[in-house]
Amino acid sequence: MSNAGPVQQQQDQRPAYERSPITSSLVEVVDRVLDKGVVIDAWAKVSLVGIEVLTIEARVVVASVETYIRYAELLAGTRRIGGGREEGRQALGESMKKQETQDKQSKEVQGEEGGGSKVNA
Amino acid sequence: MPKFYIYGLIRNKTAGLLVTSGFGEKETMTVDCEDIAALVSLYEGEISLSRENLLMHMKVLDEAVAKGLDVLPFKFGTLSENEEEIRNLLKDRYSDWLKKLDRISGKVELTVQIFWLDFDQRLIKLVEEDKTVAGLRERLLSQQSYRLLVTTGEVFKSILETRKKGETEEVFKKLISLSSEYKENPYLADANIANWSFLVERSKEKDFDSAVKQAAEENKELYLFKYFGPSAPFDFI
Repeated sequence: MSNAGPVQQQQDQRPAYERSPITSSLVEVVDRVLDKGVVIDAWAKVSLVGIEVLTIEARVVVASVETYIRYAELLAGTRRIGGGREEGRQALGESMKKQETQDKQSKEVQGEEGGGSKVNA
Repeated sequence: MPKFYIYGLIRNKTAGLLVTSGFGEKETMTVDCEDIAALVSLYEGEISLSRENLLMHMKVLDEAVAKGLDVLPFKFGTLSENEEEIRNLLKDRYSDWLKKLDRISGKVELTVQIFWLDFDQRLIKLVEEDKTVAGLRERLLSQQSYRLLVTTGEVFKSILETRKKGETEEVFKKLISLSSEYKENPYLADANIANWSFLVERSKEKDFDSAVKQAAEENKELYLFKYFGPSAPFDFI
């Protein structure tokens, strides 16, 4: 299209899709080789201390609540382009921010007491 | 004494097709039991969880797949003391290993991920078009309570996920029709609207490619398609 503006031209030049080997993405590699694959329990000799993902029921509940709050913040910040979570927080007001900070602090204390395990949300 | 690092299991008759190196540039070899074989290389010392090591595990599996082998991938960090131990592992669960290899026979894993190109615009449009979402937002901004924040977030998350599924349904159906099995994986980000793994027969890989390409071309203005593979079928073991 000859009348296309710079943005349109840029979009036209973008490839519609990217095909790559799995090894091109460390995220994809980690997702597979650490979380999936055949497991022979007694033979896993690698030390995964510190990154092991523990799914403890109570913590998953906490993580879900955090996820829902994040979505509420996204929704609240949607009127402005580039808004999202931060805008949402502002829109929801300082009082809500304080409430969340207090909640986070209390969870950090719980996390320290519980050995700081990570949560798979 | 060096140990044996196991990358995965293959069919014994295909063992000769793969010549590559694994950890420490040691050549890969096989330890077999009748029709199946473990793909291994010698390993000395401790295995650290480094980027280089994780990639090496995947590299060996990828090369096996590229050579046309059926490979049942093992989790990173599986080490055996000696060959006898591996033979016993193959022997003790022989029929189970064969079943797993049969399931992936002549097939590869292909991963398709779709992302909204402009997530913010999508949200704005959703609020404008969907009265329920607009109502939720209005209530959220007028009544501030922690409980409301959580319940609204939960409802909005569900609406957003329904929208994501709806938008990708047609592409999903097309790709399912070209695959033997599929798996829906968790979303990777807010803008991620699909994260699928497919087990595809090698003979159908080209058709699958074309279908992904066509879907990506048709929706170029709205979505980014990421397409990985072929790789060892980690999602179908």
